[in-house]
Amino acid sequence: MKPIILKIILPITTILVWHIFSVSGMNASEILPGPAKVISAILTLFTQESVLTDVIVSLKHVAIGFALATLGGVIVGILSGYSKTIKMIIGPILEFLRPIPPISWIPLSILWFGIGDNPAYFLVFLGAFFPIMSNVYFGVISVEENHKRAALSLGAGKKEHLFDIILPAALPSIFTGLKTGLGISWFMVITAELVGSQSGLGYMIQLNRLLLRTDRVIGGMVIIGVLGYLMSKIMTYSERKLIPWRVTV
Amino acid sequence: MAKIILDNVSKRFVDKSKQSIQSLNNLSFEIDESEIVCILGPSGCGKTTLINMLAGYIFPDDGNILHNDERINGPSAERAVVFQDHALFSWKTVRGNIDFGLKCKKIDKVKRTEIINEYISKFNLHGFDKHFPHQLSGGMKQRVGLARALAIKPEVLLMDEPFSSLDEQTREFLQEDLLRIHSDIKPTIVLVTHNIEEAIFLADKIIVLTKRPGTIKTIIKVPFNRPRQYEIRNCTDFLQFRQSIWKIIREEIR
Repeated sequence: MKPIILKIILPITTILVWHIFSVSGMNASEILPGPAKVISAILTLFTQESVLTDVIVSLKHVAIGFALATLGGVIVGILSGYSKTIKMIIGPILEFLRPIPPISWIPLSILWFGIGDNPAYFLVFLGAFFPIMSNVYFGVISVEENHKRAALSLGAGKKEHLFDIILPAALPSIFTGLKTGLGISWFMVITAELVGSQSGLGYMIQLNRLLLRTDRVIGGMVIIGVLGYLMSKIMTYSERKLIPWRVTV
Repeated sequence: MAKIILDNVSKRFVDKSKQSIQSLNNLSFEIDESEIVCILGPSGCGKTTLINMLAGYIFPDDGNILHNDERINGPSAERAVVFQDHALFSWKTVRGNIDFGLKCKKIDKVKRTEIINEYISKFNLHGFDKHFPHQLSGGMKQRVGLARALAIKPEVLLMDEPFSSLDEQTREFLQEDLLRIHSDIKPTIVLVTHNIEEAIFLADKIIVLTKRPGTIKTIIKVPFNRPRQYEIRNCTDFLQFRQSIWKIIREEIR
């Protein structure tokens, strides 16, 4: 069978089963609205409601939190990969903080930052920082000894060592960290908005749950899924553009 | 004047079971300017250790290594290195790899382009200058490795089994490339190999090391005139010379 057919079998069956369930009368439409209702809810959300604003707010939360996490993660990752002293100073505290699930920071972040944009930034930062930092660190310490030696024997100074050798050699690993970090960012932003925000897609679906607009809740989830998918596609695309030397098998 | 002097050099290592292993013991010899010296010896005799000390990556436990009468205290662009696994920067193109050392030397852009083009043509890399290392064949990678090392005009070129992972034909071509370039820009070359034929074809003098701990077994001057053509490998003198060196090495392997 053609790959395209194999790929669409399950989605189509799911939608069909979903449709049959929703019209069977077993569930009220507040519990399980059918696919058609959800699609029309999505259209209404875009045409009559301000869901675009929520999308933009959520993207802004991710953009700022993720940018801060990237900055912090890359700097800390490089420093601790470079210097054993720095690694010893900051390593233990990071190892202590890492296993604390970022969502368990929600109560504290609301206490500290109140309800609004700031808890979202903070939680996105926390979620994305660790995977970025550890992948950067790993990338830096895994630079081949011979590459470093070759650079020194070609006269590399500190600047060339960092920008021409360490950073590009670690870039594939850095990108792995960024991809993981962005995935977690998207996860965290919705979580943060569900409980600690008054705008964004997470807030929107929470609000519609209270209004018993289940079609809009599911519609919102579909939008969240599509945006998350697009983000990971963009990352994969930029990875290919930025790392042309990576051997793709 | 000797370009490089080794004076009673010894090097020990501590192995996994914390035992001290003597890698090289009391090595003394001199290398003259523009000379090609091949270090030959059974595997595990410390040949690579010797190259690493000459490069300045590691230091002798006893004795001194001098370059222009100064003690080697770290890597320097005056002693470029060609690695067995070529160690090309996989994130840079052929051009970028050759450019790296020139950039470190703070040579201006126009001049750099000129030098890069010169070395691309010297090593027959036309049409591949924008390729990344993973797109090149083994022989071509090592030509880039050589071009990158020589473009910065080092006084000394250190080579650690540079051709050992290549097939025979490619290896012979690269040896000829190396001799051609040497007659042109005359760097001092120290090359580590376990290939006797390669050592004879390239070297002015061959230093044979004993098995571990590596000491000097003998130093042999190669009696063939330059320029050497590839046919030299088939003449009786060459084969006899090869046989005599093989005898010396056999004593060590047994």
